[in-house]
Amino acid sequence: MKEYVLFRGCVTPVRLPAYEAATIAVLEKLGINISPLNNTNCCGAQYIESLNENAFLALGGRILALAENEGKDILAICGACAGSLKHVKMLLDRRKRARADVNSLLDRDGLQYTRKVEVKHLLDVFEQDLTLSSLESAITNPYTNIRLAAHYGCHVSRPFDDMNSTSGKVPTIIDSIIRVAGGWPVKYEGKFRCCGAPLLAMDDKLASKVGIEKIRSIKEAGAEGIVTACAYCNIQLSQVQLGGRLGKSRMPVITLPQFLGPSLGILDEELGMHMNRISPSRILESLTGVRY
Amino acid sequence: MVRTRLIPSSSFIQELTTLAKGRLLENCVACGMCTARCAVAAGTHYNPRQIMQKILVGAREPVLHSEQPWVCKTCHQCEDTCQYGVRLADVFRVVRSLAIRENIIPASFQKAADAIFSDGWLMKDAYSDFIADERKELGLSSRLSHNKRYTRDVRSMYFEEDG
Repeated sequence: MKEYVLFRGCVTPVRLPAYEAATIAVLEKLGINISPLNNTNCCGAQYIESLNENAFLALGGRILALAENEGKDILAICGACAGSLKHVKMLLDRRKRARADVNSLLDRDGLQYTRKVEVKHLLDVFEQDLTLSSLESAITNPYTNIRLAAHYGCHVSRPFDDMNSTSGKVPTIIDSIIRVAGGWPVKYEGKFRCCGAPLLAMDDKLASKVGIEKIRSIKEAGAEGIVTACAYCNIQLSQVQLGGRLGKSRMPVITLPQFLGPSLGILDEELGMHMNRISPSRILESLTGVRY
Repeated sequence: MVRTRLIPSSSFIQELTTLAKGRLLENCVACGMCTARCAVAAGTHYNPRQIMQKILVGAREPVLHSEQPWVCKTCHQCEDTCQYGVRLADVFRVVRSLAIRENIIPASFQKAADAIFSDGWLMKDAYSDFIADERKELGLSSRLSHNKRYTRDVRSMYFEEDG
C-alpha cells in the first residue's frame, strides 16, 4: 500500500481543517495510507522565498528531511506548500553546496536531506498513484445533473521549472474526476487564472477584484459549484462571495476530496461538510443511490 | 506629482542580468502580452509591461521603490504567453531581492516573516480554541506542533537580528 506523510502547512489546518480530514478519509478509502508530519515548520512560500533564498531552502529542506526520516514521500494539499517544496527539492538536488549548508543546520537535530524523498500534491496522487477506472469502480453514489467548474490553482498546474508533471499541457484531472463521479465539468473563461489569494497580504481590494472576476465568469458558464484543490484558493473563492458584491446567490466552493467523498459513500460529518462557509447542499442533492 | 525623466541606460539591466534568472529580461520588447494575460492587471494599477519597460530604460530607483514587483503573485501565466521567453516572475523576484538588499521591504512581508521565524509558522495567532474543537470533531489532532527553535536558528543565520 502506498504511504505518505501529510505536510499540513500553515493555512489548511487552521482555516480549512475539513480539507485535511476529507483528504485523509478519501485517500484511505482508495487504499493510500496517510500519516501527519509533526513538529514541522512553515515552508516559507512567498514570504521567506522573496526575502532570502538560503533561508527559504533551509525551511523547506527541513520538511524534506523530516519526511525522509520517516521513510515516506510527502503529500502537500496546499498549492503554495506543494509548489514551494517541489521548488526547494529541485534547487537542493542540483546544488551540492546549498545542500551541504542545509544539512549542517539539520545536523543539530540528527536530520539529513539525501534527495530521496518525493513531493506530491493531491492532484499528483490522483494522476500518478490512482487510475480513473479504479476510481470509477469505487464510486457507489454517483452525482447526476450537476454542472461544476474546476479551479486548479497556479502553483499546482503551471508547468514552470518542470516542477509539475503536466508536460506543458493544461491540467485536466479535476475535470476528469468530476466526470467519473457523474458530474458535468463546465468550460469557462479564465479557467487557469489565479484566484487572487496570494495578493491578500499586499492589497486585499485587488485580491477581491481578481477573485470576483473568476466567480463571475464561472457563473456565466452556468456552473452550480466550484471544485478546488488548494486551501488558499478554496478560502479565497468562498470569501469573495460573502462581501455582497456578487448579489445574494452564492455558489458553493468545495474541495476535491469533499466532492469525491460522498460519492464513495463517506459520511458528510467525516468530510466536515457542515463547516463549509457556503453550504454545498446544492451539490450534495444531486447524489444518487441510497445514502445512509 | 514629481515627474522623473527616465534616461535610457543599461547599467540596471546589467546589474539584474548578473543575478540568477535575470538574464532573459534582455529579450523583452515591451509588447504588453504579459499585461494582456495578467489576471491582476485588468482594470487595476498593476502593469507588468510597464515595470519591464522601466527596467529596460534603466529606471533603477523608481523600480526598486515601486510596490509593483511585490504585487506579482508568481502565477506565471504571463510566462506561458510571452513570445520572447522572458521569465517575468523570476525577473520580479530578482528585483525584489535587490530591493531587500537596500532594505526596501513592504510592511506586510516583514510582518509575515517575523511571525514565521518567531513562531515556526504563520498562523499561531489565528489558531483559536474554537478551531481546535473543530479539528477534534473531525478526528484530527488539535496539537499543531511547530519547531520554532529551528526557524529562529535560520533567522539568526541569514538575517541581521534587528530585522
